[in-house]
Amino acid sequence: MPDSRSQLAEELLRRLTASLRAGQLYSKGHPIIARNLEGLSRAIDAFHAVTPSLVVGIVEDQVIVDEMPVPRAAGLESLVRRLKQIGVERITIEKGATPSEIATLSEVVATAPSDGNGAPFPTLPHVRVGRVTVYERTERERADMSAFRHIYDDAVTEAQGVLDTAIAEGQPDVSVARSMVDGLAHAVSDNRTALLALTSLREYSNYTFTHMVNVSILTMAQARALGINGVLLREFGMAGLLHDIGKIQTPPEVLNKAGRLTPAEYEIMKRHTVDGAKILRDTPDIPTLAPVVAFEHHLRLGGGGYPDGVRRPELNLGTMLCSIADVYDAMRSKRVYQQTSPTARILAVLQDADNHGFQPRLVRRFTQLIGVYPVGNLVQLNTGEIAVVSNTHAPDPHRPQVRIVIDRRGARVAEPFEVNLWETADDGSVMPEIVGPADPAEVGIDPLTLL
Amino acid sequence: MAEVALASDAARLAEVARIFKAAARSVTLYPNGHPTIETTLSRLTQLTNPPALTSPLRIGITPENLLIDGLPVGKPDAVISDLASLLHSHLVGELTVVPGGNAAAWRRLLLLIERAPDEVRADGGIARVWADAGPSHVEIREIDYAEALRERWTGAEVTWERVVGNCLKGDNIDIPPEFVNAFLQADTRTDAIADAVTAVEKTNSDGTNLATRADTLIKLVGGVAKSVAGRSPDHVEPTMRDLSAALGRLSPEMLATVVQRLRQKAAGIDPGSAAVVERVVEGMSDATISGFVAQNVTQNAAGFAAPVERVVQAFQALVWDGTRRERLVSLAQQQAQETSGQTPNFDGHWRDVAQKLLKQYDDQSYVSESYALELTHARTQAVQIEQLKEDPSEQVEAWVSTVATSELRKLDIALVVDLLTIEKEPERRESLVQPVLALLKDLLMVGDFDAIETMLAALCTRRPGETEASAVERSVLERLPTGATVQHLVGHLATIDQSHVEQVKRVCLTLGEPVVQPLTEALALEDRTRIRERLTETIVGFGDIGRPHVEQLKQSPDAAVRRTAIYILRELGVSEAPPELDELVNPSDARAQRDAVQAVIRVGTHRAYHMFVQALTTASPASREAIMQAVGSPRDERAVPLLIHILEHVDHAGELGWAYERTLELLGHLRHAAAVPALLVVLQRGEWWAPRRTAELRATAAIALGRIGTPEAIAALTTASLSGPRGARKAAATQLQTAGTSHRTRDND
Repeated sequence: MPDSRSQLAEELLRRLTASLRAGQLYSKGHPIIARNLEGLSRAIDAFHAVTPSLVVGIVEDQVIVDEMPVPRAAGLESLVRRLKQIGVERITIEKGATPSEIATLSEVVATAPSDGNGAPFPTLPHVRVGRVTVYERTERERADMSAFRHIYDDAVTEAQGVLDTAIAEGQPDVSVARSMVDGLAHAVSDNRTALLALTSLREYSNYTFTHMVNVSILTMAQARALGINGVLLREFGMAGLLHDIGKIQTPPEVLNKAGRLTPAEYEIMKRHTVDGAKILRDTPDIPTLAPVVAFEHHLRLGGGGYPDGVRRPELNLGTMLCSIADVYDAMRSKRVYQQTSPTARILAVLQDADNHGFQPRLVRRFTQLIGVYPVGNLVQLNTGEIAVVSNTHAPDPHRPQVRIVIDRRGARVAEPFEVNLWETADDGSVMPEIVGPADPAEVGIDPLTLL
Repeated sequence: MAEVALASDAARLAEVARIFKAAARSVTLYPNGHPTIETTLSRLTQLTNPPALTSPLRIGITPENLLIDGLPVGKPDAVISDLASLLHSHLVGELTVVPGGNAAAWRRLLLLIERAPDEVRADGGIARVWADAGPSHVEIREIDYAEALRERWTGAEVTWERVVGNCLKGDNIDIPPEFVNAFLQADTRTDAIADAVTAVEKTNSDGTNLATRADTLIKLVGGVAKSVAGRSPDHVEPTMRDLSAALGRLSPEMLATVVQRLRQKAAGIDPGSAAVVERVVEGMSDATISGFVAQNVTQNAAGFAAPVERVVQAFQALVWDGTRRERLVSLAQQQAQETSGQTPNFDGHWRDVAQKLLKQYDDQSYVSESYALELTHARTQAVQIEQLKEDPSEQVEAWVSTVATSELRKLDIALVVDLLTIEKEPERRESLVQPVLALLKDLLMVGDFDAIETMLAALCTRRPGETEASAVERSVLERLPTGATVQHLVGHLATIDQSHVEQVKRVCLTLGEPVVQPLTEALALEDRTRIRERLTETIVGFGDIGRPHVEQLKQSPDAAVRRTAIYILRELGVSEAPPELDELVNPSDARAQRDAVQAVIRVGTHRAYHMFVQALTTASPASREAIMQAVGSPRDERAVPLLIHILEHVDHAGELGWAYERTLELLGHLRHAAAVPALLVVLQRGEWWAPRRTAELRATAAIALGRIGTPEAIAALTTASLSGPRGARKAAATQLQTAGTSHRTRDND
């Protein structure tokens, strides 16, 4: 049994570190968490036998327990890093702290968001946590379309930076990626429709970066529609953003080959899942989901896909949503080896894939979310009018809300007006139907300016 | 690049540090007056006096480096790091050496520095101890970590403005104790609440927006309620009542925003605080609300208050029910009339106000355009989301559960296991060493032994054609058993159940030989019985593989490690040497004593038993007690021969009579048939000159036989009850009767 204060302090920190790690790695209620908390409570009790009030603090990189610095030991860095991440400078535990209070402390410290912007620490009778991070909650104003476009463009630029860092240093710039995903996550929560509309842009200046951003947005949009929010939503976004990071190790001649890949080249291409997982696992502060999704995003339900030989009895939600987003965005985009696919065809591909590798219900949800005619797309109506899709209609993805911009005679409408295609007109007549997508270049209209 | 000290300064500092260390070592190792001390101290004196040092030398100390004039040494020499670490362990933050110090002063300082930090701290800390020793050429400034980590609430500096300021920064709400005290007394509570509310309202001047201030107020009220509940639950209700009344003194904007934020369940508001404030709002009495309306409308009429629209907004947010609204407006009108009824056009003004107050919520004129848009948008969103939710909630929960924290952990482990399988090329496999090692360390830290076994199995699986461990396997297994890893393992041994202990043993065996030494060292330092047993089991589980490592530890400079090594070797059946007599009788080291007793039991030779009896005879009373206690704990059948030996060689009538009797009891507890003949002898033996003692011993022996309860034991009792001396017959019969009763009871059960 440790007897001197320094031994007690070391034991306490070891237990605290293990408890926090357990809280991060296992779900609430897991027996491993309980076991580690039991150990931590014992260590705290041992300390309280010599002092009624125990203070664990961080001063610069030094851990202080009961006013004494504790020598740096293996594993302690993670504790210092964690406390700094969440902006905690001091934890005070008074004698009499109950196991439940210790459990709350451990849970809150283990799971608080790394940017220090988490909920306030709960007030506990015997435990106090001193936060040093000062931040301001600013009221976000509802952004208009141009603001969303700005967010999107910034994200694409930052994606390039993330990828450049990965190429130069072997690891992506996590802080840039995180701040970008935070911005997108806010935007997705604020106005999913606007952001999804931006992913429908077809004139890409650079496929790679827009694909990263689009998959991130599309993955988060699906997750948000499932009620996922907060930290987990951002983890989905990060996983989507970095799912193809392994391609930085794919030879350019394979990656950019215009024609069909040979079997050998295809084998090389397939390695990006393994390389991506390794890169992300080696990158500090990357959420666990990201390397998992990078590794699994080409696996399909029923055992298809690659990496070869890898089987999962079931796929996790992150992988499934990212896979759907990946296939959707890849099929829709202009790539050197693919012609642009009409929206309906993309969805047909997804429906087809649905039978083989995707969760049918998730594909249905995705179809409802995006619409057969995604927001921001120009469509031709059977009346000869041309309209921009302004909103999807979940019960009937073929009949969205549109804004008429060119009338039956082919003239620009001075004041575009909205029509809900799923409704019946006041006079009982049937609303027009969409006959297909229209090419903005041919029509000479940027649909996004009309949203 | 960060600025560093000049190379010449760094070199001089390294020289001082080197001599300082050498001198420190010499003053502790050698007696005063030893030539080595003189040499090193004179060198140190030389270095810190003119001409080498002409002005004070100020040395800053960080945990790993020294600073001159605030600048760190660029690449610190090991000696600088060592000295920094030593000084920092004493919390020395700065050391100023003034030229002119002599050898005696330096020696005093060095002796102080070489003392254990805990000990110096117990004497008041190094700065104080040094200052108490008198004036000197060295000034010590101690780091005050307590001050650095002091909580914000200190004495007179505490104001509600500071509390509110911290709330606004997002700090935890710690209501200072003196404020909580104010809430516990009726005469100070109202003022305290008013002060708190005013402090929140005052933050308006610094441009903080209304929503943030409202959130702060909610947070503050929540914090107050919790603090009061924590101190005195009886005062919660009166405090809540007064808080409800205090809300009536808020500005209409603030009150409306607070209610709105609560209804919106705005992000960033702690649900606990929100619930408290909801109760406080609900607790606002008719008088409070009507008073609020009357006061604000009257002030508005006088031209120095919020627009009536704000009052209306707050009122309608507070009161939903139309009938209650009418009643409260009427009440407010009466109150207003009392104070301002004589002002010109009071009735007209009030009529307008009442009309607005009683307007229905859904009147379009009331809802601003932007708010209406927001409502519409929110409604549209709600409809859309509602329509998306066609999947059963269980289905959605099942999907989301696949990314729960524990599931992600499993996925991560599966990923690493897959990578170990997929990567075949040596170079690529080599890149897995770090992640695999880090993951295993993580798992060992938290004690997830299922996952550890999975990982180790994947790591150690031989591929077709492989005859020996892969480079990755070797590398990971060599680097994994560090001190920290073993300390975590030992820590978990205290809390895990037996099935996990078996896993720990398997894990240790997989880790192989390198883990034996740290485990043995850990065992040497360990006092907790359960952990010692589990560690011993684990080390013994290594069998012959572990033996050479344990043998090596017999040469350890640490006596505890040496003893433990011998103990393990005995457990391994390698050493048959009984412990030294000193180990058995030494009362200052209870653990060594316990180990020695266990060694006697384990060795089991006549010589060892003889040693034990000798120890029992010669040891102090306390030591004897400890020795006998160690025989019975833990319960071990192997102790039976030793106990029989005690019966045969210890005088039951002498000063060890208690030990003799304890031996009889222990034999009964161990329930081993081998003890029956010896117990029968005691049962049959009689001493006519000591009838009481004879009766006691016979009774104890009979009870022991009864406890053993084997056919042999019952037969012995029967024999004694039929043909033994009278006292033996009685004791045996009593015991047989008891045994029969307990047998019957058991049968009936």
